[in-house]
Amino acid sequence: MQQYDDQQLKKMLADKKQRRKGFEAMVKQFSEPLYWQVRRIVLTHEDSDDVLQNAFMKAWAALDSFHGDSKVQTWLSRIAINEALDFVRKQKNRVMLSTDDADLGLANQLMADNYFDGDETEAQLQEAIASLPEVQRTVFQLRYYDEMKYSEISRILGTSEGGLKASYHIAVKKISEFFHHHD
Amino acid sequence: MNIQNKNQVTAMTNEELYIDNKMGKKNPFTVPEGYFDQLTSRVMSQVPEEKPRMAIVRQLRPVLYAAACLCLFVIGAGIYFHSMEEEQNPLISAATEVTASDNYVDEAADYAMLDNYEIYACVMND
Repeated sequence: MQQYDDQQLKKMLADKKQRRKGFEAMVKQFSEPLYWQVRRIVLTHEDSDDVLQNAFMKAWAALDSFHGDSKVQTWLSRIAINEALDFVRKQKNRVMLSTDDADLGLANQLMADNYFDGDETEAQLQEAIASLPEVQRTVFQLRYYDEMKYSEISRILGTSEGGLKASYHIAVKKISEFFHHHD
Repeated sequence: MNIQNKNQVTAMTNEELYIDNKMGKKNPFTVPEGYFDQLTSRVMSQVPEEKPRMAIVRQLRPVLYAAACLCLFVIGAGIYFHSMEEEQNPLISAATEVTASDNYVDEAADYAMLDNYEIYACVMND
C-alpha cells in the first residue's frame, strides 16, 4: 500500500467515499509507532494490543469530529496514549507496584514476561519510570524515545508547554538518581 | 536522544547526557513474530462496514418522509370530514323527530274531528 502525506490522508478521511481507504492507510502507516508509545506505558504485549485496537476503534468513531487542526499522527497519538493511561489507572487499582515485596514488584513481573528482553537493571528502570506521576512519565517517554516537540506533546496530553518542561526536568532528575543508585 | 540532531533543541543538560549514556535507545520490549504485518488487517476486520441496505434506505428517506406526511394528512382530513358529518346529524335526527310527532298530531286531530280553526282557538287561549 502506498504512503500518503498528512494532507492526502486528511482529504481521504474527510470524504465519506474514501474514508475507509484513508483509515486503512493511516493504520498501516502509524500503527507501529503508536504501538510503541502504548507499550512503553502499558508494558505487556497483550495489553498493548488490546489498548491499540480500542484506540483505533475510537478513532474510527471520532472521524466526524476530526477537523484536521493537528497532524493525523498527533490526533491518533492523543487517542492511543490517553487510552493507555486510562488502562494503567484502572490497573493500578488492582495490581501492586510496590518494590517492598520483591516477588510482586513490576521489575520481577517484567523479567518473567516472554516479551521482555532486558536484564535486571533494565527491568528496574522500567519500574522506576512506571512509578513516576503520569505527566512526568509520559513527557519523558515522548521526548526521549519519540523526540517529540513540547508543542506536540501539549496537544496530546492537554498540559501547557511550561508544565511539560517542568515535568520533563523532574523526570530526568529522578531517572538520573535511579542510575546513580544502581552504579 | 540522538546527540547529532541538536540544532533546534537546547543543549542537553548533564543529566540528560548521563541518562543517554546509561540507557541509549535500547528497547527491551519485543513482539511476536509477524505481529505488525497482521495488525492492519486485524484492525480493519473490526471496523464496521456500512451495509448496502442502509445506503438505500438513506436515499429513500426523503420519499419516506413525504409518504408519511401524506398519510397523516389523509387520515387527518378523514377525521375532520367525518366529524363534520356528525355535526349535521343532530339536525337530521331532529328533523326526523319533528316529522314523526307531526304525524301523531294529524292522526289525533282526525280522531277528535277537530278542524284547523278549532285547534288554533285552543292554542290561542293557552
